[in-house]
Amino acid sequence: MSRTVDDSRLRIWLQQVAEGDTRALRHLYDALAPSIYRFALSRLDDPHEADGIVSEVMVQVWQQAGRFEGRASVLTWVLGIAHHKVMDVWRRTRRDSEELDTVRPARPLDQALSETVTPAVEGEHAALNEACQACFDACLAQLPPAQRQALYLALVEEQPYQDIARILDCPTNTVKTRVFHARRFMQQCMAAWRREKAV
Amino acid sequence: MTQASQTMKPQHAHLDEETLIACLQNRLSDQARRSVEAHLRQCDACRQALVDLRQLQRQLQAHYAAHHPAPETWQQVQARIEAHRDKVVPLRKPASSARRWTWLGATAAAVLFAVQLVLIQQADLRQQTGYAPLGASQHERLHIWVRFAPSADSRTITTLLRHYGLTLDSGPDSAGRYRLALPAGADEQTLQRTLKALRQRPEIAEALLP
Ligand SMILES: [Zn+2]
Repeated sequence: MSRTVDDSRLRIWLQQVAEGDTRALRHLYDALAPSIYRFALSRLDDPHEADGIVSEVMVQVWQQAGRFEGRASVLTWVLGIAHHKVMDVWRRTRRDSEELDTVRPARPLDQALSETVTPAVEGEHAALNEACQACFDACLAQLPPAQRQALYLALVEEQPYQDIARILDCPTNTVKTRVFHARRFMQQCMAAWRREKAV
Repeated sequence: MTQASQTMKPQHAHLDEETLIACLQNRLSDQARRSVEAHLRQCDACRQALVDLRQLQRQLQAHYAAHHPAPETWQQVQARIEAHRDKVVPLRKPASSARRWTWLGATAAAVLFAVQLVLIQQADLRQQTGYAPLGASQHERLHIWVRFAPSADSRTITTLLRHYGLTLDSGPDSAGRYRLALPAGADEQTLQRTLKALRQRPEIAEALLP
């Protein structure tokens, strides 16, 4: 998503937060909370948990603003904090899902298809697009969470691989692999849907 | 691969995904961009990959643009910061929204306890709230006693309890400990596992068996 606030502005607010300015914290919150929330959602797929992550991260930003060293962007730094909190929740609640890259059984694609592919005769094109978005959502839900998270950072937050590796605390090659597999999965999943639709 | 790309025979290997994404997001240096553009002019496969990536990026952005933090999350942050700063917990209940109610319904009792925990902190919960006595079935449940860390807030506590299927059923005792009931039917093994997990949680200062 195109950033509405640039990094230099975020750095100024962060500096003000370090000096105890709560108004600056509100500015930071407005600028960063949606990204933190969506990042958490990309891994945990749970709105309530994602809200909890936002709250915890912003409190930590408040407490540790002075520790920001400026080596990465403010967003990268904040998402790195979020990652540790997301993984705390992950380890605590998904104890059976240790394998980071396995496909998590989600809503079956067949089910999504039967629910969404019912275009009316008139406005068929619009209905098809709508159905397509629903199937896109279904495919996304089936994507292994670690891959979905990497894809989110690469394409929604537009973070370079090096920064994604920093956020996720993993080698750049792991990022490459995850984005690659995520893209391939989405492509195949959507292609399967289109084949189904063509029948 | 199309006829065109086979006949054009690009001199170099295809562009990797990282480069294509950087190109899509205008993050390439001038020199890199020129070289990428030269490759794209003669390679259908990479052009198609770029088109696919752009489509995927748009769909992903559209998907995530529909998701926002709950409106009351900022109030949660504020309340926690004020609590840290002044060591005084504001007597403000979290704002509610339609979205919250489904969740609230399910964990209303836990939320009530947890919110009160923060509001009155170390005061006697039983005296302040007069909560309902335990049902008969709860007497047969397994229990763990915990002392929450001073930094733990209502939401964290509620989330914690929810994740382990725990119910806050009495406390605090003279040492500030609360009794948590495991889900009905939980066995000794679950008890030990939950105890071990709780001891690793930052929200829990102390966890013990009765
Ligand atoms: Zn190529």
